[in-house]
Amino acid sequence: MLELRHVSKQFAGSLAVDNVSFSARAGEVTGYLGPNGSGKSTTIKMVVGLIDLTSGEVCFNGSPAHMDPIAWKQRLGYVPEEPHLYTHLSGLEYLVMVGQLRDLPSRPTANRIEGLLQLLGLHDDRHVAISAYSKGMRQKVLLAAALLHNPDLLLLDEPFSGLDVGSALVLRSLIQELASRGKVVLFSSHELETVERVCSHVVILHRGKVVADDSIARLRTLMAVSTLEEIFAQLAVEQDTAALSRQIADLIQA
Amino acid sequence: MTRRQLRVLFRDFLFGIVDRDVLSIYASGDASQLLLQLVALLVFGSICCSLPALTINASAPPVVRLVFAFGIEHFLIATTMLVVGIFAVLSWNTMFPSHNDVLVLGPLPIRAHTILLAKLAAMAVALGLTVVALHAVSGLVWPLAFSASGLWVTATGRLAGWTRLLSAYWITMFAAGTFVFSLALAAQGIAATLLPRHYFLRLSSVLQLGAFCAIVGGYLFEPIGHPSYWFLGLFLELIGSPAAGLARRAVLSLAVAVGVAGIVYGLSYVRTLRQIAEEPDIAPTTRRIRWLPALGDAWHTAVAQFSVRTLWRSAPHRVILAFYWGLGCAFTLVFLKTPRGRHLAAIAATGDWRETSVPVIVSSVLMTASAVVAARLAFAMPKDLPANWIFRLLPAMPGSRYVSARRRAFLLVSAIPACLASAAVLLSMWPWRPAVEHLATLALLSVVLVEIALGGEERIPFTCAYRPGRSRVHIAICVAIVIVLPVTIWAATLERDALERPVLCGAILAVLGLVWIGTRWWNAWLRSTPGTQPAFEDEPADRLTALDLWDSRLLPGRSRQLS
Repeated sequence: MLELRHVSKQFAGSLAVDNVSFSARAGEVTGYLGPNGSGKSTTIKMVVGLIDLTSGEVCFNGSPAHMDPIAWKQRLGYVPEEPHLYTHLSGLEYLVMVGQLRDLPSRPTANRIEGLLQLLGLHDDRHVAISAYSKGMRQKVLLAAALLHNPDLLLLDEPFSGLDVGSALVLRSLIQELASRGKVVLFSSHELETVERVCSHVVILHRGKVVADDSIARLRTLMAVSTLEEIFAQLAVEQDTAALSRQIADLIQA
Repeated sequence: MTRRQLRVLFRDFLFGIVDRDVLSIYASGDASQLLLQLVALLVFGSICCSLPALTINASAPPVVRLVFAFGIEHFLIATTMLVVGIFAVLSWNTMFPSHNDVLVLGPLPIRAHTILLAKLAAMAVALGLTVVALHAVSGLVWPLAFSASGLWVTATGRLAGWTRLLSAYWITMFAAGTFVFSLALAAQGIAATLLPRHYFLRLSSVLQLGAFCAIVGGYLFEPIGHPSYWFLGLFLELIGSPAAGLARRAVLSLAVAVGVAGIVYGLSYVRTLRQIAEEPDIAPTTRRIRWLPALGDAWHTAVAQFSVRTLWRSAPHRVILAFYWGLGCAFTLVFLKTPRGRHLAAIAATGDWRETSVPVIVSSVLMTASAVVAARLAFAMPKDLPANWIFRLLPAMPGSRYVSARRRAFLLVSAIPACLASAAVLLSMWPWRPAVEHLATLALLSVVLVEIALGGEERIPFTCAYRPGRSRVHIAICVAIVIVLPVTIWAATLERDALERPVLCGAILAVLGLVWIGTRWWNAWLRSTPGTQPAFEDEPADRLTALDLWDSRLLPGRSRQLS
């Protein structure tokens, strides 16, 4: 189980994440939601170890995760929000490099890479430089790199970005399949419909603070609404969306 | 595990040591191919540097042979420093881990010191490879030639003498190269250690430009006290000729440069890693000057401001700009170094502005021409090519609109800065009247040059695909040396006389004015077709593959026409 205990992050002049606490259990997919700039990606980067926590603690199965950062990173797979990749390498070269850097055994890793490339529909373009890949293809490379070492914890930050419908459906099933096999999955997305289908438990962040942390079913009952979108709108959307859209339309027609 | 990671990272860093922004233009992202090409180029340079060894005349008096050997050895040391310096400038942005490095490698189980070691090893190997490739032939030929001609042979015998020469040669070259590279590393490291990251990033590009100009200018000007003389002293000391003072200075400066570079690099490395990772996703705004003047209507202002901002913020484009400004400086300095230039400078002590006017006029014209050429080449190199869709979507408009927008951008980044710099120099050196007259001439000349630079297809700066090899730098430099420089000197002499005769000066200004109107009219006439779309592709695809070398009738369109 992944636990965040009173985690905060202060950047110069602003508190990006403010005393966030929640847990993501093995065997279920935890949705991590919030508007742009609410601190979702910052939290995930803190969990990964890319940035230091200002205060608080991240624990995995009861032990502090950052006591041994190397061992911690061996257990997690991460799909970042932006497709940061070495674009001068081909998809195959990149995955081989990641396998080598993770010190995975060569032969089984080669087979696993081959299989992932086939299943993700990248096999024909495996020798093409990533710079020539579409956004969806880059996303698939990131996903393959995150799964290559069979991690215990998966941190997915906007994993559906750029994927076509077929690939998105596959990924949706894959996330559920991995969770059912006992992995901890923390999944951040703006696609509320997908989150509603995939996640059993959601954490909603607003201005760096947790404003909801419960199962979707319970939140629906508590707030007397029928969809996750309505829950989200009540908790994290401050503007009157209809009035705002009218203002925009008026502005461009003025 | 660490050893395997080190090996993998070392390989990746080594192939990425030359800035990939530059690389993507010249080698389509193929790092290994580019490295091989660079090595081949350096080896070719080494062969060229070895050819004068054939001309050593063993029967010439010892003093003549010694002077020749000194000259050659100094040239080789200075060239090593130049090549390593250019290598340092090209690899400037890869000396520290990039944002991408941190985000790609950060989530992987790799220790920070493993990345540091891999980076240092890659830089050391790349530096070593540069020096070895540059002296692959000359590093054997010259020690052999010196030894064969009886120079610096010790009493212990010819073989021992040759071995000593060989060792001294290579030690000197590696020391000179390491010194220059360490200076570049130290400059960046000090800035990275002392400054907040966003200030460092801004200063770093200025440092890169400054380093480039200093290296090229230093090589061609070679002032007394240039470090290349210290390393010549080191070479002489190593082979047993007394040059203790210079050798001591070389060793001391090398030790200081390496020591400072090592300390500040280590300190700033850790700091940089943390700062990159700590960059928030949504960066808070910083106070900065965002104002640029309006340059005509909205369309002209948009294109001109886009050009200025791109040139200011894009590292590869700044390097191109620096290269040509550096060449302009170098031409000027070389010209001022000629016996005639020195003679005129000596006369300048008498305070007679007229005597110093020809070198000053030539220098200002060369700098202005370099600025226009630099802008022309920088504008031709694309920046984020896929992003040009925003310009492609614009409605078609008269070709003259594109030309006038480009003209303003050219004036803003080339002619105006060059003329302002000349104005500052001239008004401080000359009486106001000849200074103003020459500035008027220079301004007219610069707008004529800009009109000439506007030739070719309608293009919006930085948005058109670039085919390597189009710039023909080598031809441009040869033309500049063989034709433009003598013509400029002749014209400067004519202008110098005209500056004292208002009628003649007026006539020159009138002629230049007419040339300007003529070139401007020509540009407008060429683009008089309404509804022109600017070019976004350098060449059509069929021309790119066929290159028109065999028979133009074989091109698909042409063959259909013939049939």
